[in-house]
Amino acid sequence: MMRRYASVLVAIAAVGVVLPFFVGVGPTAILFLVPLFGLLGGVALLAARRTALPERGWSGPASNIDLGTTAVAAGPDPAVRPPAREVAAALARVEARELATSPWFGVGIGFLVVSLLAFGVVWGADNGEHWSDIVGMAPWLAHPLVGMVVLAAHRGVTRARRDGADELFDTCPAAPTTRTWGAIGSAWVPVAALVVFFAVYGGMIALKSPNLYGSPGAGAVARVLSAVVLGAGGVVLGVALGRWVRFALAPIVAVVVVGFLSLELATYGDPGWNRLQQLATFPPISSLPPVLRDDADWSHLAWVVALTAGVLVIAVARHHRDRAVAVAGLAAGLLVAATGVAATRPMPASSAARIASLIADPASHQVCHPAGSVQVCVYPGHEELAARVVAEVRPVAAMLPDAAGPLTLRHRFPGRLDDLPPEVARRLPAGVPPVPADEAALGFKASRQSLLETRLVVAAHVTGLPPEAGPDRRPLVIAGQARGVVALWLATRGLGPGPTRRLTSGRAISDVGNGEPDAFDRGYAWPGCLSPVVWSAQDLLAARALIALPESTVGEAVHQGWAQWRDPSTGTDELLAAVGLPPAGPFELVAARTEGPNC
Amino acid sequence: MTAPSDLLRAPTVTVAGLRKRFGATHALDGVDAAFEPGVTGLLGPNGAGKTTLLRILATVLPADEGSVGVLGSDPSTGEGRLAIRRRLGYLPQEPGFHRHFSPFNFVDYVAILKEWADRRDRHDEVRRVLTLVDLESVMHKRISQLSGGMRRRVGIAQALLGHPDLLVLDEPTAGLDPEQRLRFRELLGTEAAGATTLLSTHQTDDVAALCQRVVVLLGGQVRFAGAPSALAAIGANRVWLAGHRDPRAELAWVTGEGRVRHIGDPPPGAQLVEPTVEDGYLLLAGRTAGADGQALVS
Repeated sequence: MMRRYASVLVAIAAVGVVLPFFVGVGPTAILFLVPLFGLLGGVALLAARRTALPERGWSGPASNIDLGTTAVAAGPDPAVRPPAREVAAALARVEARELATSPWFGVGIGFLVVSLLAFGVVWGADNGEHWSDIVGMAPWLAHPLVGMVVLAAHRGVTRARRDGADELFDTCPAAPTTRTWGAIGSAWVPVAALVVFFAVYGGMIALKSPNLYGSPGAGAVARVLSAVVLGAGGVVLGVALGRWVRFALAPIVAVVVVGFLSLELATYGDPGWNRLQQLATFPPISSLPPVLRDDADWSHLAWVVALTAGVLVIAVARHHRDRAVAVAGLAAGLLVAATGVAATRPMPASSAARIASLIADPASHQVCHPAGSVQVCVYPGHEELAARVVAEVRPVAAMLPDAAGPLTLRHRFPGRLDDLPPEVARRLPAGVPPVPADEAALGFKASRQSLLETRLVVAAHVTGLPPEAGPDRRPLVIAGQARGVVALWLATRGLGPGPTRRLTSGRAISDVGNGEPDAFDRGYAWPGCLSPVVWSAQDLLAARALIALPESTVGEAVHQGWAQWRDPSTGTDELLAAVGLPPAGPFELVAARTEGPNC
Repeated sequence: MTAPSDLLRAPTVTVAGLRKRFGATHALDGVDAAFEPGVTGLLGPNGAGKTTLLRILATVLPADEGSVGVLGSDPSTGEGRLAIRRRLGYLPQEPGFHRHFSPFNFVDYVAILKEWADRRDRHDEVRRVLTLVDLESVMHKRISQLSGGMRRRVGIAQALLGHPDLLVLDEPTAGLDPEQRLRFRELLGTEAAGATTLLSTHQTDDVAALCQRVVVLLGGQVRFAGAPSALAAIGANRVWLAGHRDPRAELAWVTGEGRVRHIGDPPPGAQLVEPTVEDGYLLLAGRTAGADGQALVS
């Protein structure tokens, strides 16, 4: 038994070592994961060292056993067949033990552990989404385990054949269908593993991700339940494959095919909206904020349940074909069809009208929160986010001159008309309304990076810079322009040295070429990708010099020459001279690059 | 009027005109036999059809032709197979084991397949049969750590679960050392009491020591059926000892005492010795090889 557990732990170790290289976890995380898993694997290997037992002769039964009078336990009465469900339940206990100690299942658990460490610990602080978005990832997170469960369940069902025990087992009275039910009965193992995982994961996220906001909502419950049902579905699929296709590679092929089909479905019609995406076993994580969605989460849950039921009937039908199974098969088929239709149904008119109204006229649905001269307006359910944004931009707003005028940061639909379900798009004949001149779009994330970006959005807007990237995804080059440096100074008001450095530093590693930063990278200070502007390295140095001066000194100069500093023709060196600093030029020539599609 | 002792000896397993073919090979070619409660040994060379016969009786294989009755049930029907399986203990010739299972878990798994749903009773029985084969001290070790003989005993243990009415044991003593074989005989003598036990073996001394009846299969046909003493009697006046090899003997070998034991038609004045089951079997096999073809039933 220990050797099996050792296999599990070694598998976890292997996953822990290998996976970070594929998913791109940074060096620090790798250092964190490798020793942990290596230690686990090493200890397990040491504990699992076993040698063959010495031959034990047959010296007769123990002295307390009298061969002539040994009592036989009350066994099954040949004349009375025990309920098959009792036998199946007993078999299920054995199959559950085998599944739980299977190396394949161990690899799946390893994936969960790595997910827990990566998303819950290493990147936990980066989370800033609405809780429903985080919980909505549950089916995605479950899939690696589910895939491994398919393999483990298949090997469990084909174990007797592989070990040459089929002949013996076939002479036992338990019917093959009972054995099938026994194997299916082990489905509670991945279900329990996923329940525990999501509980721990949720707790870890709650602890490590203080920037999450909102409440998950009922739809999130459906997503988690879908993920848990998928765990059972993995067992059922593995058993069905084992019953019909004993070929050892069958489950691997099945996992690859299902994974590929699901991925294709989940991205079907991208970019843009397509209802068939809901048929993927892992439904897509929408780029739309929850308030602008009407996800068919419960329908998707029903779809997953129906698929599981359908495959279950297929598994049982291998050795048991009677009227009841035929009826069950018919019912499962109808259920699959019905839930498939439900999951891909057009959006209800009421939901479409509600969302269209939210997009067309956001102001009438939102509550605004003042932060000095800046108003922060959010959709209902985003009050926590509004409070954080207000706290973030208040120091920036406090330094704005009256001439800067009022600004409203407003939640808006952040995409194109094609990204919307047609039922919603039809209700927006004028398209997505443009952002008014005195407004800037407010994002839906509350991560540290997003909040820093919001600071820059405010600063960029008031200094006449574009607050968000244009459709060509090519940032405006503002190398040597005073307004860019003023924007950086404004954006860093009230910030500590760390975030200030982050907002005034270019990229250390380039996304292109051999990774060596060029002038574009050295002037790229926007915290996220898709920056609307790009500075030069000298501008960033100038901004740091400006920030180092007393705030009152710079503030006075900024206020007095506000119109001048907003003028694109005013150079950075002029701004530096106004506060008594030496010039920063000459400025590097920066060529704007188009950001990649994944940005 | 039938005496109770006669009822006890009534055949519980019967085959008539049994044929089984694998491609062009006739594994069983018209076998007629009846097996009574008690231990019956199946003797025969490799390929004689012993395993095929046992597998048909154990409901592993269907017969191509002929009729089979096992414990009053017909294995050609689903209900019949189920009824037989509920009263059957079976040890295949090459039983496969889940090597990562412990003996306890493996036998427990078989017990579940034998519909022992009650966990406590089942575990008691598993411990009992493992104790019978003296594996109680290693019953929680992995089977892969056990020697071949110990694994064979695991196989024997599972076959004994619940005192089956029919025990089908295909070469149960293969891989057992002499002491273990003796223990096996001792065990079978008590555990299989009242049951119909069919065992195939190449060990004629096992047959002599264990079996009330012996059936010799040659070329897919029954060539002898009777008591072991009757099989041995075939060698009466045809086994002798001499100081050197006699070319007229069908078989001859040097014994431990340095003398040569002969089987065949003895020369005048030969030192005849008491024949064994092995002698009778060897003579029978040799005679069949000579296309005598006459079945002997005693």
